[in-house]
Amino acid sequence: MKKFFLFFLLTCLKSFSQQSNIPENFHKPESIKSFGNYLFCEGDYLRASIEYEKYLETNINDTVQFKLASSYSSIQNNLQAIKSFKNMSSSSALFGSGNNELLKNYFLISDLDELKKQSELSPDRTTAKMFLYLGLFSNGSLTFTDSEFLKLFPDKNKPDMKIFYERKKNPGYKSPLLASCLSAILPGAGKFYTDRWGDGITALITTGLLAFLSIDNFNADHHFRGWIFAGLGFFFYAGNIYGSAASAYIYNDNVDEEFEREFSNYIQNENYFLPAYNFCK
Amino acid sequence: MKYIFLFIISSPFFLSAQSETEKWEKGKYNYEIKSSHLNSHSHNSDGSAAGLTIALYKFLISDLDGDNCAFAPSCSSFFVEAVNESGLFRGTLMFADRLTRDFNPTGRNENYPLKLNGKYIDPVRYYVQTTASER
Repeated sequence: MKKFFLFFLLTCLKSFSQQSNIPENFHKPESIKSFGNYLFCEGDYLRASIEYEKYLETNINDTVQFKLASSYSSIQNNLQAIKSFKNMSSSSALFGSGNNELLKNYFLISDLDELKKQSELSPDRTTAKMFLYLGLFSNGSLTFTDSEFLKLFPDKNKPDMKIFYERKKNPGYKSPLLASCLSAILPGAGKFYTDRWGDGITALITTGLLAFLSIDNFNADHHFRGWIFAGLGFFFYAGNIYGSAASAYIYNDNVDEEFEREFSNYIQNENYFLPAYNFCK
Repeated sequence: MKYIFLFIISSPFFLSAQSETEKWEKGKYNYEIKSSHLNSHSHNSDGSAAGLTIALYKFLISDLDGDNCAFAPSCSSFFVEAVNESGLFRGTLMFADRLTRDFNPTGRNENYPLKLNGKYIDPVRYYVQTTASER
């Protein structure tokens, strides 16, 4: 009986013991690559890069190398993307595309020196030159003419790029000195010049009212009150001149910010004028 | 008697024992970031004449009036910061301009797109760097 009980107990322990549910091929390279591809197609680039790194520790595959670098680029880890693109073999079918993506990443980190070097050494010098000019353009160094700039882009983008070039060359800044002078002549005029109509009208009314009160009090021989209103009027008058200059600087900053935002959105939407790669068909 | 004594001794263990629901109850935390820079309706003065004047103003007038300024930092705090950063003369000019802008009730959403606790963000640094060398 005791033996039967012991046998029964041991059988139960074996039958209900915890067994591993992990399949045998879970850690195989093909599984890691498949999982990485799935994550890449889902847009989970951070985890895809981890899986691809794991795969590439023991395997060589240029498509995976390209996708690893693309994943880094997508999560804006441009330095790692550059390192990964540089590891691509020159005999690979994706070498040319990888080189273009490498140039794009140099542009994104504004490494103009490297782009200058690549514009002379790169197998695709036109693309390298395009990114170099885009980098110079973004930095504000318009050391080239519009025709030199536009010939680097596809025909369908040339009209838009021409508009951007004109906007960069003539941004339509407001002069702080002119704004101050206008406000000195007529309080609030400098604010009208910088499109701050409400502030300009307020400055005009405030200064005008205080000046009127001052004159009125002096005419009524209330000198003390007259001087108080004159002091307050001068206080707001001087503040309005300073504020007009400041509003011109703020206006110019807003112009720059808006341009950078629109330009950046445009070239992102055009995929930086590079062909789009779809590995997820 | 023995059982009553045992019950009294052991009752704290039952009453204060960790029960499953208590142990795993979600804590109530307030993740609101309290910005001391822009919410500057305090009486702390930095010892300067401007700071003391503003502290007096806040104590005597502003506390009765309430936190009415539409901007962050408030106009009085803006004055103190402007004087601290740019000196008395330039700080006073910036304050005069700020008052003028405060009097204008229109166009605030276009000119001051950022908000903090319902107030339009308008810090001193927007108006400090106005010469080419400073920018």
